[in-house]
Amino acid sequence: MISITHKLAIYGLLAILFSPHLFATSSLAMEHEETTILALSCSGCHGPDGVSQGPSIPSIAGLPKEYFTEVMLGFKLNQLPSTAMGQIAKAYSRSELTTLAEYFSKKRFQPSKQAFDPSLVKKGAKLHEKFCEECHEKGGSSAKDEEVSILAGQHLRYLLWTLNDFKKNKRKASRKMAKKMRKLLKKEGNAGLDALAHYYASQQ
Amino acid sequence: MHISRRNFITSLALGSAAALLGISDRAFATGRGVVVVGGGSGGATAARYLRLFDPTLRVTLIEPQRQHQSCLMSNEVLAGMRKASSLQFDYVKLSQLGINVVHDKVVTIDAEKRRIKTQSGDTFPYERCIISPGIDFRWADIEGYDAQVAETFPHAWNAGKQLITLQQQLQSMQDGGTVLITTPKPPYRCPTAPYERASLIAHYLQQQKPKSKVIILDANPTFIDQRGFKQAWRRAYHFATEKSLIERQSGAEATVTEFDAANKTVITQTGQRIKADVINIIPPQQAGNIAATSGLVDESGWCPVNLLTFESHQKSNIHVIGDAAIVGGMSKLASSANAQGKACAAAVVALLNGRAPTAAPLIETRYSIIGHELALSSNAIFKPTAEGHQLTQIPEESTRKKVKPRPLREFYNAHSWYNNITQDIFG
Repeated sequence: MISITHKLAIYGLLAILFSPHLFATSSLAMEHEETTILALSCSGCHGPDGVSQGPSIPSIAGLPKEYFTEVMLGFKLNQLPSTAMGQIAKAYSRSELTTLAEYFSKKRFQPSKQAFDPSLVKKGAKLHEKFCEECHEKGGSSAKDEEVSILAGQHLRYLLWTLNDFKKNKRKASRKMAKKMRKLLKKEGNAGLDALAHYYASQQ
Repeated sequence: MHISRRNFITSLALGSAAALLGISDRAFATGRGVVVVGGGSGGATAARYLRLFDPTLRVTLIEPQRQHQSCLMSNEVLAGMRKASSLQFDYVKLSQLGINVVHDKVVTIDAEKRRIKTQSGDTFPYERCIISPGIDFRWADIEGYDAQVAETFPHAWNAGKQLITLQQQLQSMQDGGTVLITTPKPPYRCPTAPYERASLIAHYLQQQKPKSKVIILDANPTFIDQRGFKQAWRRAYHFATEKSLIERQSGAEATVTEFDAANKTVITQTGQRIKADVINIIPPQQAGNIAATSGLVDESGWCPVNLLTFESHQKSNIHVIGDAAIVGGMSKLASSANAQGKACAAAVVALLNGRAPTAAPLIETRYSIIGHELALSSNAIFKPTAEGHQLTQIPEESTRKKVKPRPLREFYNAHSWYNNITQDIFG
């Protein structure tokens, strides 16, 4: 016969084994503590989990790993224009930047609920299809190609500024992109870039 | 320690009961959890991240105010660029996260018994306590200027009611009037804010009362981001010309020691008397009073802490963050408090679990609004040594690029930063 005490002990053990608290108390932070702690330094400016409220600082949640790393290295090595990031990126080692890229690539990108000019969207969509879709698939929402960023749903001001940096060659585009951009500018001028940005911003 | 078989079995059973009831093993084991004192940028961040790191941890946040009044962006209210209501944040999201938000005032922190008492007579035991008490003023340092006088001649250094008083005084001033801003010696809360305030008052005057001017009486010979500010002032407010809307005096002759409220006159260390129409005295500061009464401050009036865990050097199990703490070369800013809140929460969770805390990079971000679509920013990144004795800035200050005002980008980034950091703090 099993005594009361023994019964209690068995129930106790069972309960502990199936308790969600024993094994699951440690949340994501504690599983990858160093990574999380490193990534926390981004949320003050880029928003919790890298989802920015805007109106201009970009969301970094869900960005492809390779794109993230390349851009951060660009900031670190003074190869990209920036207001703050040229300074901040220097504080992280290459391996830390890879860790951050990995971390944010796993977060979900959330398109911004923002204002845009609806009259530009149709034209932007057409231009996108013709000049950009080949690499920035699915209307600029795909991050399948690791080298490109997510455009659809990114903050409008950031899109406009970045397109302008590419146009002025302050930010160097790949040969292919530079060629497409020249063609687009020749045909449509700055209005073409505006239309593209508003099209991306319209995807919410 | 010897545990009898019966006791062992009983404790197993009790532990499992606690688990079934949804009480964390740790909370059950200690019955205490973590109490955070002060719901500003540091305290609210710490409370929020404690729960995010460990959703089973019992977290209590004690803060007298139901609405937090943000100092960030408060100078935009003076410029007429922003509504004061957009500076208010409540604690609803923190409550929803399972934090026990208590609106009460902490009266004593008993470090020996690990117990906090509040004004309404409640007692809060803690395993570890994080305090983020902000600042209080050293009223004795300026003769004739105290808490009561400050109601009429506001410092407006905690936003809230005094910010509105200052705004109203600016609005009722005649064109051709003089606005005086006086700064204290460091360290003080937000060392860029007096210059941002001068900029945004100048913006208001330029729009509404162009014959008026702002004078900064600066106790400090130089100031943070000075180059960027002066460049911006030249660009927007004719700085260093006869038409300048902003004038700055510095050093002993600009260090205020006395205030003559009846004659609207400040008197400086060298006996200089300056009369003005609107007077904004930013008084010398020290850690929030509760830090002093709890034995957490040193002779400087601020709280020495370990730079990895933020645990007080003076009292065990009490961690101090934000403006009140001495955190190496970090400035006393909301962004510093936010960074420290996250790092401290991570350290506390690690310590409660018997693990060594991981060193976190701490970023301080300084955005200053200058005028319409004009702002400047700078930042500094620090990392503590493994034992938390020192804080190293990476990269070193000398290798940094120059701070300069930029139209559009810095301005909208500043607003983005405000929207994002307040969400990082209050959820």
